Amino acid sequence: MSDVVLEVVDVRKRFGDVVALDGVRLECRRGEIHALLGENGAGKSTLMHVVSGLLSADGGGMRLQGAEVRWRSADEARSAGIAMVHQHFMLVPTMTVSENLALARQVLGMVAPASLDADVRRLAAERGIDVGDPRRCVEELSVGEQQRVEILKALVDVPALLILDEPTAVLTPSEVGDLFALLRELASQGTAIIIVTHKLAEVFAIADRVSVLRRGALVASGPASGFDHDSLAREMVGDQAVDTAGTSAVPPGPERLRARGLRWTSADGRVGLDGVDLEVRGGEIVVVAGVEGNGQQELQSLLSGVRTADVGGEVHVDGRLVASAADARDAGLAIVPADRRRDGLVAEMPLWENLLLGREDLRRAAPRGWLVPSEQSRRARPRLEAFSVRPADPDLPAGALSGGNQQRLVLARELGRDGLSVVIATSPTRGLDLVATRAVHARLRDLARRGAAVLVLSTDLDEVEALAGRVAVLYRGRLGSIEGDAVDRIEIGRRMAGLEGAS
Amino acid sequence: MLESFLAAGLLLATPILLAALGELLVERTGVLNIGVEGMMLTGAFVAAVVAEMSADATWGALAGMAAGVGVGGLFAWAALVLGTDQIIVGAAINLLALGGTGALYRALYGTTGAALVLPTLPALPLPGLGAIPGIGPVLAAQNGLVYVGLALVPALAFLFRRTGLGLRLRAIGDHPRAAASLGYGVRRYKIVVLLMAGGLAGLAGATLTLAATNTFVEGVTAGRGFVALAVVVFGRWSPAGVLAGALVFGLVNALQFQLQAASVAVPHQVALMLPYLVTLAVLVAVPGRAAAPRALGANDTDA
Repeated sequence: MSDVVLEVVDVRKRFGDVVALDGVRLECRRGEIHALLGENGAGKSTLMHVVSGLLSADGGGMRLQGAEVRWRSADEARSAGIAMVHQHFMLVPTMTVSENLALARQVLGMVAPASLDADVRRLAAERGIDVGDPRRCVEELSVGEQQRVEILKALVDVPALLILDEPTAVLTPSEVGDLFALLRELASQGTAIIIVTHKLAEVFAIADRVSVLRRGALVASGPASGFDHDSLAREMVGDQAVDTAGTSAVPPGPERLRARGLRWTSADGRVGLDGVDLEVRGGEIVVVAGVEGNGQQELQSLLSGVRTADVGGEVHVDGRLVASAADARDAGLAIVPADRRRDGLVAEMPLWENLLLGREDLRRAAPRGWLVPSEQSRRARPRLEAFSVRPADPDLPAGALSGGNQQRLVLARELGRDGLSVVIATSPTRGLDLVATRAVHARLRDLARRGAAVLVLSTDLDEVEALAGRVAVLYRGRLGSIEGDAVDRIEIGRRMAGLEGAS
Repeated sequence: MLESFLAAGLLLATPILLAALGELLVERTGVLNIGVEGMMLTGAFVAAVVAEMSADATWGALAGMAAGVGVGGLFAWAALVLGTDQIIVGAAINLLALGGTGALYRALYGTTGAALVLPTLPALPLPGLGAIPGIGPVLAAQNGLVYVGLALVPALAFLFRRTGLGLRLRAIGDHPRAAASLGYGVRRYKIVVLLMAGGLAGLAGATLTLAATNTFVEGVTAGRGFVALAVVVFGRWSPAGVLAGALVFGLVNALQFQLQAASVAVPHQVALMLPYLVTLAVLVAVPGRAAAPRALGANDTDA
């Protein structure tokens, strides 16, 4: 029997005028981990959706274990042995682990909790995936645990091919390690695995074989050992210039952001922040590293003046007390929130209206008190172009943009102003590809060079490394000591996981 | 005296109970049907007309249920097939039912003001029930729909907690995309539960005209469909909570009749208001975590 589990031949897919896949070939073998690498919009997800039956291709074919197949539904692909772990978990948060797995097993009739639990324990033991107590509600689980449940769900029937869509995006470094160990174990049992990613480091950490997509076309494919970091980056990005400018040190200026004794206790008694002190000077970039849920959200709310009265501590910008979000804005503070869809923009509004959502801009834009849409729309275009928002059509609703372009829109509003004193950005490059990420980092460095105090809250070690002058680690609401220049990736990862250095 | 009061309370609770259990079923599956009132009213009217024509209350009740299923189907078609907003569909159904039954009633029976006298659903004495100490006599002489309502409470609780089908419905109500990703036809399930909820609301209306009031007047449901909606919310989307809310409403309603009969010096408008006020007050006061289905009312059917 041939080792080739899946063979994709010349698959083509268009969405309107856009060619999403342009004759892509792909081959996955038994027991092999295949990394599918590419920028946002390169066609990785489209290809995986075709393979898993969520989309149908316009042309080309597929063979699964030698037999020609053409999916009419995702269900068909699943029963044929293709399992997919989605980037956004498909678990019902209000149900227990057992109940979620019962759903996956298509149980219809009577279910007794005890027997469901026993089934889960047996399945977990057989597949070698620890999901803990099956009686726990999914929403109580950590993201890493949820992912294991999701993987176990995909392995209810041993699949011929397991696809994971950006599985590491939400994990801590130690969870990534656990996941990779698990994937290797599954591969050694004979499963073919595709891991979709845009992180180069992961290719070398886990993959046996790598295929690179660029603008819907397969540009490189082969054993991972045949590539190095630079050659893969070049294949992925093509001839676009990649800005790799390092930090050019600027002598730090005066202190611009100062926070003292920040405390936050939520209504149910959970301590969100436990006495955080922080200062950032002009010209400096400080990165607060930490896994989500350790106080980032709270820290951002307090520093930006969104919450003040009901929690402890004081925030000063340029020596002035920040008592409200309006104070913060007046003091020249820019905020790039973690959840751009929820906190950063209004999806229904056109781009030009989203660009106006800052208060000073509204005053300047409408001195007579009313807005002329056509005029605003015209004025918005150059700013959209300056931040590479695509398409730069000011009348398009923000919700119509891709995730990366929505982020650029938020950046265009927040950072495209003069007189910024402090920039607070939470995971500013989440979901952005390599080129966009580097552009954002370059812009943050540029702002620092021009005298702003830049504070970045990040969960991504690559980002921490790329940006930081100073690094602090936020763990369970406490800010660990701010290090000097030497940024040790492993040490930061350990502290993010709370392993040591809880000083 | 106490027994007849409790029996009346249980009878008056039944329309609320049936309608609210139907609503509970669709809401757990993620559909917000504010058209319960209209479904109930349609059921009440059709039940009255068929019972009057056939001189048989049982045929009336069955026709009322069928009419409710029909209105449920109308909701499903507009909201799930055409994709119209569920609130708008529900509101339209309420208005349509109020106007439609009113016009048809006048066309059929004129505007003489003479009340329609309808056959009554017969008592269905179940063997053994009367022997239960305490509540036996209250339960013994009820009509069949009362038993249907009471039996549905544990049945729905069992469905949601102890069957795979119940898990599917809850999954669809909480995370339709997850359910769709497992290959479940989200829209199909929603359509089926809507038809069932329509049938239950129709039965609720039939109980009202054929057992509780024995007549039909325009707008006879008088907001009971909305009480059913409230009972689902404050009953925390649990069958037992729904039963409790419906019983409070029924008992206070029975009490209100007693007050009026005893000529207590309360304006009758206040007396009529009492069941609604007390039900809401009790439901609001009961502590507990709200547990609304996460994707309630979302038109994201996905599959």
